[in-house]
Amino acid sequence: MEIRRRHIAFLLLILAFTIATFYFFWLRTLVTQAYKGDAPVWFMSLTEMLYPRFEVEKQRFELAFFQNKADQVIIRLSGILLLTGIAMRVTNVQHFITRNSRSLTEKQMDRLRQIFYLGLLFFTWDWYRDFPRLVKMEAFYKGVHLFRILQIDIPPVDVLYGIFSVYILSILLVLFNYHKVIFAVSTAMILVLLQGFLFSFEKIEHGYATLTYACMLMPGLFFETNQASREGPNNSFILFLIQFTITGAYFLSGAEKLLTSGFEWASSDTLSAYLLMHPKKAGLWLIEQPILLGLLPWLILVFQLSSIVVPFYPRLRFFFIFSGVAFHWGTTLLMGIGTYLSPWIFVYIFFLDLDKLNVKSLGKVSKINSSQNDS
Amino acid sequence: MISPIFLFRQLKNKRPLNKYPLFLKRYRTIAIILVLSGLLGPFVLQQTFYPFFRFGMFAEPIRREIQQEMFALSGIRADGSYEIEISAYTGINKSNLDYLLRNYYYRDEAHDFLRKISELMDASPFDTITILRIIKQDTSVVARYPTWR
Repeated sequence: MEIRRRHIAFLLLILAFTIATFYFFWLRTLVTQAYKGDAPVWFMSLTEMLYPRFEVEKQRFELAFFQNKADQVIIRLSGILLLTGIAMRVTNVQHFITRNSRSLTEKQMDRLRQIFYLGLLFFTWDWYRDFPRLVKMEAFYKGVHLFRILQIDIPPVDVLYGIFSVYILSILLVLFNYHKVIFAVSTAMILVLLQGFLFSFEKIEHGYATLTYACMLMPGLFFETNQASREGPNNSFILFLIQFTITGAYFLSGAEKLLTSGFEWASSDTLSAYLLMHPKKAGLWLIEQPILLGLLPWLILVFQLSSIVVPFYPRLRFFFIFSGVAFHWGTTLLMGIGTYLSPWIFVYIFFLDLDKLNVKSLGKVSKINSSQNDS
Repeated sequence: MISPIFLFRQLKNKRPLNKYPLFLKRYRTIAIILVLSGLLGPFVLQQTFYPFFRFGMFAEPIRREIQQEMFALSGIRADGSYEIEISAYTGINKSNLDYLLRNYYYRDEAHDFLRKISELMDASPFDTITILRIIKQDTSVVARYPTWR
C-alpha cells in the first residue's frame, strides 16, 4: 500500500511537468488558432464544451486575454497535481480523516439538523413564486452544463410546483427525523435541480453556493453519525469537510483574485472602479476616504486567503465568523450586492457548538472548545 | 449504474458499516474526492460547472473600458416619448436581463432578443423597443424592434 501511494505521488509529479511542458511548447498556439477561428475541430469542440462563453467574450476581449486564461488553466492544473503529489507523499487518507474528525454530540447533531433545514426552508420557501416567470421566459432558456448533458428542458409550471412540493416535504421529513439520510439526499437533489432551472437563463448566482454544498454533504453527515452511534462515540469527518468546503470557497475566491490580477487587485483604483460600477451612498462615500480605500482590499485578501486554515485550527473560527459577517455586510452596504440575511453567513452554524450555544456562554464556550479541539 | 431502489434499501436497513457495499464503506474517501473535484474543477477551468461553482466574482481589475459597458432595454411610445430602462415591463429581473442583453448582443442576435422580449410584453405601452449600449458617456442604439403585432 505504501509503495502504491508513493508511485501515485510520483506519477502526479511527472504528469504536472509533462502537461506544463506539452502546453507551452505545442498546445498554446491552438489558443491563437481558436481565436482566429481556424483551430482543429476537436479543439473547437473542446473549447465550446469547457468554455461556452468563448464566442461571446471573443467579441469583447483581445487575444492576450484568452492566452492568459489558457495559461492559467495549465498553471493551476499543474500546481494542483504537484500539491496533490506532495500531499500523497507525506500523509495518507486514513490518517488525515482520523486527525481531522470532529467530536459531535447527539444533541449538537440534532440542533444542527433542525437549524440547517429550518434555514433551508427560510431561504427557499418562496421559490415557487418564480416558476410562472421562468416558464414565461422559456424562449431564453439555455440549460446549465449538467442540464444540457442530461437534456433537461424546463417543465410546465404544474410539474415545477409538484417538484417543489416534494422538496418541501423532504425538508419536513428530515426535520421530523424520518429516514433523514434518504430525505436529505432527495432534498439536496431537488435543491440542485430547482436552482439549475433558475440558473438556466445565462446567469449563475453565487448567493446559495455554500448552502448548496452543505446541503449536498448533509446526507453524508447523517449517514456518518448513524454509523457512529452504532459503533462508538460520534467522531465526524464530514462536519470537517463541510467546514472545509465553506472556507475553501473563500480561499478560492481570494486565490482567483491573486492569480487573475496579481497584487494590482489590492490597489485602491480597482476597488473604487467596482464601487463606481455598483453605486451606493456608502460606497461613494468610501471612494473619498483614501486610507480606508487602500486598506480594505488588503483586509479582504487576508481574510479570504487565511480562511482555509480555520477548519484545521478551530480556535480561529470566531475570528473567521466575525470577519465573514463584516465582509458580507460590507459588500451589501457598499455595493448593494447580496443581502444582510445571507445564506453565506447562515452556514457559519457549522462552526458553532450548537448544544452549548447561548448568548451568556458564547465567550466561555469558545475557550473551552478551542482547548478541547487542540488537545 | 446503481439503482435508486437498491440504494434506498441499503440506507433504510441500518447495519454495521462493514456490511455495506464498497462505495458506502468508503464514503469518507469518496466525499473527499467529490469535495476536492467540486472545488478545484471550476477553479482550474475557470468555469462554473453547476452545481460546482467558480468563485471568480470581482477577480479582474477594471483595466479596459469595455468592462464598464452597460446595456439598457428602452422603449419609445407612439407620441415619441421614451423610457430608458423598461426591464420592469418584461417581468425579467434587471440583473438577468443585463446578462441576456450582453450575450445576445455579442452573439449578434440582438434582433432576435428584441423579438422574444416583445412576445413577453403582453400589454406594452411602447411602439418600438430598442437596445442601448452605454460605455462611459457614449450611448449607441444597437437594435430596434417594432412591438406592433
